[in-house]
Amino acid sequence: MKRVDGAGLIATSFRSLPAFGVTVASSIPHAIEALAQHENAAVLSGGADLVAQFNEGFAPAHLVDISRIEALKKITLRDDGLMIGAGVTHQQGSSDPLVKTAIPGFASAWRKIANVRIRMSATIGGNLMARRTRYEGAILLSALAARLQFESIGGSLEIATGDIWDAALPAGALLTAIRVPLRVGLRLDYERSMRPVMTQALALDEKGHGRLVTSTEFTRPRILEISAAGSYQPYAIGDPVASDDYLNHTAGVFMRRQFARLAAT
Amino acid sequence: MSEMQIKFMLNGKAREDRAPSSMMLIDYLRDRLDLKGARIGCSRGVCGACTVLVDGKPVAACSFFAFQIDGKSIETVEGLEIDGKWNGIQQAFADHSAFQCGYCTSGMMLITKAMLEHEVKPDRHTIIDWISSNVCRCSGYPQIIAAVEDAVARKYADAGEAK
Repeated sequence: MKRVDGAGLIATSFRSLPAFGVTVASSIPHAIEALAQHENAAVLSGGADLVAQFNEGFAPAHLVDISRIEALKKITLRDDGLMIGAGVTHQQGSSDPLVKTAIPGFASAWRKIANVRIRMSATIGGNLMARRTRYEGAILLSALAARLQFESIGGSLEIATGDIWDAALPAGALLTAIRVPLRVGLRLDYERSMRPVMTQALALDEKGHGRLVTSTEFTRPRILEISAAGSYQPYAIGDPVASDDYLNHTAGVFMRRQFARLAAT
Repeated sequence: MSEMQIKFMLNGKAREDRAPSSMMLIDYLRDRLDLKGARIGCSRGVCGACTVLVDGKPVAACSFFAFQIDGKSIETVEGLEIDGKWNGIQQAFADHSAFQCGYCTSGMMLITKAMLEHEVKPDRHTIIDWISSNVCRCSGYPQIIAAVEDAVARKYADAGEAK
């Protein structure tokens, strides 16, 4: 992506935003068409992160506003999982009855993201596509083994949440939905009392199988397949602020507490 | 620079205008409409000094493009007065001296208005949850919380219910 000259560690002002064209998309096909037409285009949904990116020097030539596409704001239950539209705001998703009942613990964890004002604007799709390690959507959804669905002019694509960092997406691909496969007894516990140093999500099903996802402010989430009988496995975290020993010890303590909390539900 | 046509309601009155595509709502309000109540703070949607209501939801006007208000209803602190008199929120903030420098006050009052429209009889925990969206640089939170609790009481007293 093009960057504004001189926009290093010091944020530029939104008053220095370069000129860009805008497409206010009325449908998913309309948005995909616009993204295909404009080579250096960015997607505007809630806008919570995009403007921060502008201040950091991001300079798209065109903006595709998807915030008015109702199809992206739906939450439905299907045979293959809980479907969450990419345009669902944190407030909508964390208060949705389907989310609350389908996966105990997910809605309350989701509600911990940001604050009321930001939750009412920011979307789960924007949270993921920002690809910032400190954002929590990828942590929660990786624990739930969620899949991300993209649409582009070339067709559909589904990837694992954990692949969001490195997946080679087709040009102009638009995240349209998140599919959370449902298993019997699936429930989530999210520990963020040490945020921003680290957070950890644990999702388990009825058989005690699931995922432990550990993340720090500056490192990508580590996804560990786990069972109730398993023990915490330290890893080379490489966080620039806290030592591996400290973080792995904390994660192990968190894990024991999380297993205990989920066992009680 | 690309200009966008916008039609919207501003504090209850219909307006029609044009705005550059990359103009933020905060600049549109302050520089084009001379509405200085929303303040520029962090410029990245964190501090809430620029909070306005868009279709009743609190929005950081520094992180919202002016073109996005097309077809929507905007409320700013200038629209809180009713017939030239302070509304209950403004009176509560004044009565509790819920400001020092005053920079966060317009945002705090609008987040309070949004809370009163979204929550039924919000308790202290809910109030803190909502106003945590905004930052008071003077750390006058006890007075702000007291003012918001008073604004809640005034609303339900006005509605004929016991405080």
